[in-house]
Amino acid sequence: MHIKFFSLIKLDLKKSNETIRIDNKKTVKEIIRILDSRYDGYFSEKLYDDDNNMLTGTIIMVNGENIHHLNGLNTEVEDNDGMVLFPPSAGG
Amino acid sequence: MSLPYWKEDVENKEVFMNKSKEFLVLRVNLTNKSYSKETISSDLVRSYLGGRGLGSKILYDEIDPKIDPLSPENKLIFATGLLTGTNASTGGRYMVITKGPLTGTIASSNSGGFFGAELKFTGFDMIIFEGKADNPKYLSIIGDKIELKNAKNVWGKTVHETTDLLKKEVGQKDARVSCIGPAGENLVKFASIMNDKNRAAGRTGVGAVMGSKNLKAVVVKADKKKMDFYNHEKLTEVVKKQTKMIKENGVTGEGLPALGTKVLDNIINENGLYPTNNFQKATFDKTYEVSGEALVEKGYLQKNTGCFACPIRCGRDVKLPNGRKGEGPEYETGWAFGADCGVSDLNAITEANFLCNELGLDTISTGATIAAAMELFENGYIKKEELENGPELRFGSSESIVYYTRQIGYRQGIGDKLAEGSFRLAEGKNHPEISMTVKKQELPAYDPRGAQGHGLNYATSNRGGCHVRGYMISPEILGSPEKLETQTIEGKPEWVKTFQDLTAVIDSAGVCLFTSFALGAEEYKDLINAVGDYDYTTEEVMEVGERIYTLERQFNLDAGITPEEDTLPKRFFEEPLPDGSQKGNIHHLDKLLPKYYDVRGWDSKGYPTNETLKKLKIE
Repeated sequence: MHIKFFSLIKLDLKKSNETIRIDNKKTVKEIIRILDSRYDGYFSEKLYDDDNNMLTGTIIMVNGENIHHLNGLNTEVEDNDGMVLFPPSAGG
Repeated sequence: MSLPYWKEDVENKEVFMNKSKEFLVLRVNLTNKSYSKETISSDLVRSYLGGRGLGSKILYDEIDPKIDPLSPENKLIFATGLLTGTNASTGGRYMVITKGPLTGTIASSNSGGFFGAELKFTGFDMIIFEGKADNPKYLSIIGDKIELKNAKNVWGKTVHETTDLLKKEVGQKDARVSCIGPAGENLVKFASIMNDKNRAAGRTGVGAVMGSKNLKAVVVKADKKKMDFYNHEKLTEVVKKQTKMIKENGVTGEGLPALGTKVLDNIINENGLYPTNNFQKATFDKTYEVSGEALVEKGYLQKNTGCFACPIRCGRDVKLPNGRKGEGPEYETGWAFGADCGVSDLNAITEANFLCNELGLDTISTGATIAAAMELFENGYIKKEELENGPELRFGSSESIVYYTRQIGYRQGIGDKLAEGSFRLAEGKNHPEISMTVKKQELPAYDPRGAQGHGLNYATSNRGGCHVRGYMISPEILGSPEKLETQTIEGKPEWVKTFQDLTAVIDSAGVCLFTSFALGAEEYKDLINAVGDYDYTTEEVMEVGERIYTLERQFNLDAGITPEEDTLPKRFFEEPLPDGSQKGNIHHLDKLLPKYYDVRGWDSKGYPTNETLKKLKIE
């Protein structure tokens, strides 16, 4: 599956996306775990609080929908899905 | 006009005892070149907090809302908040309150930088300008010396030139200057008032009112900080705790400092509400080229800048490849000249931003008016001959955004028509539907079809199309303080009211709205109680916000702005979003507005009831 990085993630990792091959359905939480294994725990540090819940303001989208309105971190994804990650961000 | 809450002239009175309970006002009559000092009673300060709230109350009491905004009868109020100049995080804000020439509504425009704090240090909490000078003047407050001086040497000069020249003229290199540029002098309906060169009281055309009074600038420099009106220890205790919250918050502690407001470009685009080509689309395929990330990666960003007492420091100090330096662009500016005009050239967008800062123009209305002109041109409603020798107004033309920004500032060629704003421009071409405005003010960078609550806020904003009267993007898109579904109707009117009321409190207190990503009503209550020595509950503080919002509403109704204007451009009701993750959505104002009126205690037609006015002590 294709995962797009924005904001601090892109600047910190100097990378705008990552592709992960998954054979079976996985949850978003499991995808973050895979990314963590590739980037030394970076993603859970940026996106989660101390209790491994999403930080207020973290935006994770699957196929254009915020996972808050799906099944949160337990939202299931497949290999042909697209994911977008933003660490807590705001402006105006 | 004598009002019950004005005390006798206090020229020689020691006013700095318990100052939080009174506001010291400098009233300047430009017509007869005189000034007086007055105080505003403690009761009124407590009820309106200063800044936007107290300024609105003064305007409401002192002018006929039906007057021409550019006539000498209008008043121009510079108001600090209760916390301005203190060590409260971001406590450097001031607001300019007047009747706005773009909308005909009450107008209040908020700015950071250092001018507001310096004004407070001089001992004055507020300046009220009345009348009209017979030739260009500027007000100078240096220590205890107050002078209305000749501005002929700076009339016609840009904001940056004026700032440098006036500091030299008053002999104070650390003086703070708030001024208009050529756009304000030329009565461009969306001219800004600029302070510290690049900080803007940007929206609603406050700069045109200043220009109409022949007032070029206000220069302030305190000889000592007259800030002994509050208990420093008590306030510092609250501030320390809240600064920690701001620094530890992912948005205010990391996201905004690293990327500034332009972190939003990709977020809003991915969420399918990034207005493109004058709101004809909701995604821009070149967003990344113009994003906050690109500003860093292209090497334009030199360093962060911050306003007075700000731990966030979201300002951008940039340098273009051609060597030009300046501040910006912010998210709204980058969008207005970028996606809204279909332009993906970050260099040109930044140049247009610099030009707005120098000419004294609101970047949102400037970019959005050019975007509307592009749609008018591409549809044949503006003819090529009207452009004289200017570039064709086509979406994607980076040359146009810079060229027509200058034309607007100097009212040259077709710029004279664009300087009236997109509503008057489009109406003059018999196509008002092409103007993306509410109450004649250009909408900012979020398509209301993609966030129902935010659209309701646009429709009911007391100063016309505006995102910072009730920033519903925060819960509907960014998930703060909690994530709301964008298309849900139920509960949104209550949320909008809460956000609008809390924003009125924040603006009036004199701190930056960005603190609200980390702080809530409870924290603002603590700050206000500490500085004012009040005992407000959180509910009572929210009622202050409601009072301010309702008073502004009442001013607008008295001015002849009817509830029929609580609406959106018909594009948002008739044309479903054509692309992006929210494709197919329209805005459902008809389902939101009745409930909104109800939760506000207004009648079904949108007029505050007598009971509501009585509860809020609005006479």
